[in-house]
Amino acid sequence: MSTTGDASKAEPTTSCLEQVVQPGCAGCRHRLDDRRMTEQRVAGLAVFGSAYGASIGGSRLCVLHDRWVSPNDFCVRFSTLS
Amino acid sequence: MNELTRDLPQDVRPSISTTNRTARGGLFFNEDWWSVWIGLLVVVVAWVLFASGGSIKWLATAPAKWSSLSQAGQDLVAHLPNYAALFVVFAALFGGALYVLKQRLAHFLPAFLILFVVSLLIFQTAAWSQASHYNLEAPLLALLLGLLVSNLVRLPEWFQVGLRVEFYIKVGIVLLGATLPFTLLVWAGPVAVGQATVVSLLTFFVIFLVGKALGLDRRFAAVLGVGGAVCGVSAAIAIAGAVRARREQASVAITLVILWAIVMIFVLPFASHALGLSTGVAGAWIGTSEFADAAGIAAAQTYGDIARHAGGAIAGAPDAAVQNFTLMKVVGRDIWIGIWAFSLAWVATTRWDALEDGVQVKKADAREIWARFPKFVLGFLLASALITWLASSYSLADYRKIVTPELVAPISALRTWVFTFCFLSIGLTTRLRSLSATGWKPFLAFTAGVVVNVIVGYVMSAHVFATYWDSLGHG
Repeated sequence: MSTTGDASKAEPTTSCLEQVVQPGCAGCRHRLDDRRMTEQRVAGLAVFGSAYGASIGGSRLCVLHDRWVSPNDFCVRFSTLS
Repeated sequence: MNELTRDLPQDVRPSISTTNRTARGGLFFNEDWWSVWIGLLVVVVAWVLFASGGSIKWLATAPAKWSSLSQAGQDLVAHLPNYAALFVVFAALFGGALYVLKQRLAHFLPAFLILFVVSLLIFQTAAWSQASHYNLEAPLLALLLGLLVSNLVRLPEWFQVGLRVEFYIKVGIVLLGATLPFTLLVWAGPVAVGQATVVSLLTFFVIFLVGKALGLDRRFAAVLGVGGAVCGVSAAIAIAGAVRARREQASVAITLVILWAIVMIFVLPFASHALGLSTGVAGAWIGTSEFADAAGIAAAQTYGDIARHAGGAIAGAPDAAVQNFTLMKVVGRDIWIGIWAFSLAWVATTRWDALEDGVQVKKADAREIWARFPKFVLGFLLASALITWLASSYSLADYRKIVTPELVAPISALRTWVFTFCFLSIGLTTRLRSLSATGWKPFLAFTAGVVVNVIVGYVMSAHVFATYWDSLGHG
């Protein structure tokens, strides 16, 4: 858990990485960028909401962690888009 | 090199596709902006025709009152060309937008044709002279029919493409703006914001604190809290993204919003009737206490329809219910979603524990406030400002005699059509079996917020600001 337990220690590394490679969720294959599939995966989303609306912003589902993520989030399981 | 950098894949490098994915935004890539363009286009075309001595009345047709089936049939046949033209216009507007949003037109068009025809039949049924005796108001009829069908029959996947609840309601709200004077929005805005802020904060903290006391994760409690306090499913998704909640946490919050929103569509209008509330006060109460825009419009329009057929037994203009609902919900509550998302993102990244699954979270970014802002509100305000500016050159008598029947009433008729598509879509997309199981803790936390929200919303609408909302209702 050393990569997750102390966010402050990871921060300098983050800045360094952003300058060099930017391995953020935006470029990761695990980020579900298909809004139609997002509506299918989140039960009830299309009843009173929408994955095509503004409120979702840049948030997308990470299918690996089954969690909502933002474009500049990242993790050690990053896998670049082919 | 720490563990983080050591474990990163060797081939990580910036890619063009990364840039493309994050740059998506602009004025044509979400339903909010499209609702603005469609709504304003309709208003401008109606205005241009009006200014040149014409009107969109021919297009904005709705069934006339009938008392026998033969009368209904004759009216339907006589207006078939109008309905066909109306279908083509709506299909072109919605289909064009959804095509840009990468939905399949081959699926949307047949789905929308079915939606249109069933909506027409609902309209026709609600126009029966005895319909009000049986509470067959168009919104309830559409909702009940949709619920019945979707929970008894498995609808094909392609049909879902035509059921865009949020898109229809946003377009309808922009069109609604064209029927409200801008001065009313300016005058009512501060009171709506004040009342909504008190109730929203109270509801959020009740759900959040009860959720925490029951042992729920803070991120989950926050998603539930804002879902109940601000704008339902949209808020749940915005906050789930802002605090990086888990998918099932958003799903549970959405399920609770849907269940309570549908219950409130039936409870609030009939409770308002039983309590003898005027349309203006009931609209404000529904705006404070409903959980989703579409559900609230359904409830408010139902009460307006009940008032219309009550022979003066309910005080206030029938349209005041939807008008005050919109002021309270859209102006008072919805516009703050970006602020809620940013604030909770900041709290989550600076005050709460790091995520346990290794996702490193970016710091809260103030640009999220605009990114998540419900842009259709701008269309609502612009449509209102446009019509108000146009009407300023007419005397009140001329406005009522010329502008209302030739310009405003046809826009209202189109709005009613769009709302009916929405109500039917709500029912057709609500498949109870497909919703997530919630568990009793989230249910209790959310329900505590519902109780507080409904009671405080009633007290503020029907007592604290009753005179104010009443006066708007009599406008």
